[in-house]
Amino acid sequence: MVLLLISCTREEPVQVQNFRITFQLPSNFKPAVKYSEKEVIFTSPYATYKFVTDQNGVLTIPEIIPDEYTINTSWEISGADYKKLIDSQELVEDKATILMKATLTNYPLFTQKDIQMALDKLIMRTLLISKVYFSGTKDNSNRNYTVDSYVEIFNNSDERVYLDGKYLALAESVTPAAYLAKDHPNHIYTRQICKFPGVGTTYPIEPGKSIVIAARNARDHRSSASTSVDLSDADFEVKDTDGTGNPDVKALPVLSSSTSIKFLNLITGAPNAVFLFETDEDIMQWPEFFAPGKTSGERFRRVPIETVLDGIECLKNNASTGPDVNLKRFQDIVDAGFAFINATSGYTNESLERKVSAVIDGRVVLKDTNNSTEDFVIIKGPVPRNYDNPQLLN
Amino acid sequence: MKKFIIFSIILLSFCESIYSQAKDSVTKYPDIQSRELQIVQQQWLNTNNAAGLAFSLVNKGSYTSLERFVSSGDYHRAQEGSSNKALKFSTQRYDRFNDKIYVRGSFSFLMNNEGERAWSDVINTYNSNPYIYGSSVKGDYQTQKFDLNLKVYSIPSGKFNFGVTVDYHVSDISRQRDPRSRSYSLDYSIIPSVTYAVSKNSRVGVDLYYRFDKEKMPGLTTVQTDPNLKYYTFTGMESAIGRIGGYRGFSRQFVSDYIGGALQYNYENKKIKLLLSAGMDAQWQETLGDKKQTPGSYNSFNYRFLSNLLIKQNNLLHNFTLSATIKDGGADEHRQNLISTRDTLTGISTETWVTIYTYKNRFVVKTSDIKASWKTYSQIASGKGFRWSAGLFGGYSHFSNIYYLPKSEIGAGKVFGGAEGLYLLFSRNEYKLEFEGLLKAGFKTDSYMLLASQNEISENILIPDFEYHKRNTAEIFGSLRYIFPMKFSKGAKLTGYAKVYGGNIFATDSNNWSSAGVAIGLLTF
Repeated sequence: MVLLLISCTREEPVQVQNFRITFQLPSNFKPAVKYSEKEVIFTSPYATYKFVTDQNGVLTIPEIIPDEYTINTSWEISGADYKKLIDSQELVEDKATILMKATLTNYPLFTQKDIQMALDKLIMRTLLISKVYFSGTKDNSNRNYTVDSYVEIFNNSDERVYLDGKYLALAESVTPAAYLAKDHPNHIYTRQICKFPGVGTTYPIEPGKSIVIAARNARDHRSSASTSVDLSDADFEVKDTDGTGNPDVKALPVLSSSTSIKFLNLITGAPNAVFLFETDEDIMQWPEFFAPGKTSGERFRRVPIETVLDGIECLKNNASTGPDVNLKRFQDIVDAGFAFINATSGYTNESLERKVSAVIDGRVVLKDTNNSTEDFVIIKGPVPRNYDNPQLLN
Repeated sequence: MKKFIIFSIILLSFCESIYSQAKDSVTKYPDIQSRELQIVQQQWLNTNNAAGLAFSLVNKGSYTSLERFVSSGDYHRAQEGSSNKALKFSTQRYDRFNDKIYVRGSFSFLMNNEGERAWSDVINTYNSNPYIYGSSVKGDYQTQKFDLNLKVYSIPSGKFNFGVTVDYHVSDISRQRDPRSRSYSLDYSIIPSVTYAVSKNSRVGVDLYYRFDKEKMPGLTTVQTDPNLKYYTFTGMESAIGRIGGYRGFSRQFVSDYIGGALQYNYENKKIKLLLSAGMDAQWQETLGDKKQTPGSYNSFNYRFLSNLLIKQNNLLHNFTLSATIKDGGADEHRQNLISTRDTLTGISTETWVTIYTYKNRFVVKTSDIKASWKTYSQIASGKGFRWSAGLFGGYSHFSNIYYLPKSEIGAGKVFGGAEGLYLLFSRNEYKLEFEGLLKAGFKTDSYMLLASQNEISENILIPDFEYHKRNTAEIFGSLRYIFPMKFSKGAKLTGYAKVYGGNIFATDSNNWSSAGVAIGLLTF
């Protein structure tokens, strides 16, 4: 009886009730079109919940555990369908893919609220960064091995795409952070920019295929570190000129850099914000900036956000707290989430790889929700050009 | 630690000096059994009220023992080790400062090596603060504990009598395998007390309780470099996060304050002595990390009831006890953000954790333990101890741990009962050989586990623990003690003893936990 009495004395924590989100489609949609019956995903560090909007494009959650949630939703339609839903003329190919998406990062959902989320429209790009390997590993003498990093770029469309003239870049990653996305919504400040050679049709990527870029050294690293990767058949090696390094591999020169480093300087334990962009302008005319408050040291070339084709934000994992989302260099439109490896300082043979969304007539289609938290998975023991790993299907 | 050792030496030296002053009156060898009977009759020793000790005195003397014991088996919980190898030194003395003020002091030192333990690097793992931490890799833990207790009480000259208890404990627990943790604990309490004689036969007492304890784990180290080594931080039930390299830069401390008190009632005539005590204390514990990081706080309310009845019937002394303890604990979990502020002039960033939300009572722990016993002693007419003792006991214990949002729960109850006895196999002059035995059985009454999710914590901790609680048990224990006068020195009147003991807990599914030990000691005036 006493125990029963005591057991009634403590108040239980309660859930947030009747949390409501009204989703707003882009303004060019017909008023009658609603964001109805679409999946909305709530992700906290401890759990993931999925809900569905009602006929009016409103999501009402009767009860949810109070927490900080990243709220994501997306709706993918073809260009042909898109044109039926809008009330204006827009030049969009029927075969194009249109993605409507909305993201709220770390939204503090601790009390009942009614909020609105506006959906952004995105014309789906064809080229995706599909693998980023920077953790390094241990060599055969158990020493740190860091020269095997690479980046892989994938053609996610059903048409041949040419890499000629496009740029692969790394955002600045100094400590303390110099140019955070939250403070700079329209530009990315870069540490290094590499330009793919070619005259327009020199370097094709077939649908469902990828090219491999050795960030430092295009050789079979497995002879030095058995857990490493074979980059001897990489398509590009980041270096100044052809004939050096692995003479069989084409050079991908660093065009712009805040340092004198001649290779793609992926940091072993992250952060690494990697992106692809395309422009007709002369990027060397784009301005460079010192870190705020400094008048010397590294200068970071500024890239307009509208030129970006794809990007992945790889944050550093903090041992006690996990990645700090406040240190993102990429705006939500580039990468609404972030990826990270488990290791806090590297050497764990971990790679970040894009999940497989589907296989259509033998062509692999990778997941692209513009959110690397959702799209990428950590793979231990990466293999370049391989998309058969069962973990990629989760 | 140095202060503690110095304090211990001063205390023991002080007791010894008192002993030196009093030993002129020594005429015979002290009797260990007589002292044990006196302690049984000192009912107030079962409470925190030191003032009450004056109503049933124990002869002056020091009882010192050195003990080596081991235990091992597979009947243990998941966050406990599978073996213990321990060495314990303890000494306890009753004495007096003067004719009006008496004292009881005790000191013990324990060294233990706990083998093959995992999932917890803290001292209090179960039914306590849920914000614990540990490694999944089994390792040995070495523990050192120093316990010091001092009770000072006046001899009643009026209706009021006064006393005070001071407790001081320090301990050190260190893990011997990567990731290597080392925790330090300090725990002290001060308990002033008073009794008031209501009538010739009745007294009431009250004690007030303040306790402080702190457990600190400054950081972890590694000898080897295993890049995949995980470290786990828990928030309750299966809710935990394991991070590769999570031990780097990790530190934590638990800081508690307790206040409480108890009321006592004592009735006594020539044949009957009854003591009733009811009390409670409240604990508030903060869990702290670096940069004001705190996963949550813990509080508990602990209720205690005790009834102790002594009946003298010819040469028999009956002791009936009924005790109950109830714990009602709860943890408030914090959700925090790391806020970074940069000085624009210097470029220096400072980071601090800020609590953005608190889940009240997200983890709740309740325990209840009730025990009743009867034990009788057949006293020797000369007053030199007892020929035999026999007793029965029974009880019920229950615990529950609940984590809310989403709800996970584990709980179990067990009834137990048994018999114990001691028989004097041999007794001549001051030489005695006694055998003591115990039989005990425990039966599960209820057990339940409802988990919101399955993960490696549920698989490796909660499910094995659930199986542990579901098992019925049978326990046997036996000891043989030889008591002898130490006649090698004519001037010193010392009684020595040597003891061997062993036991086993048999649990269903062929699990067992065995223990054995040897002890030597002596009793002085």
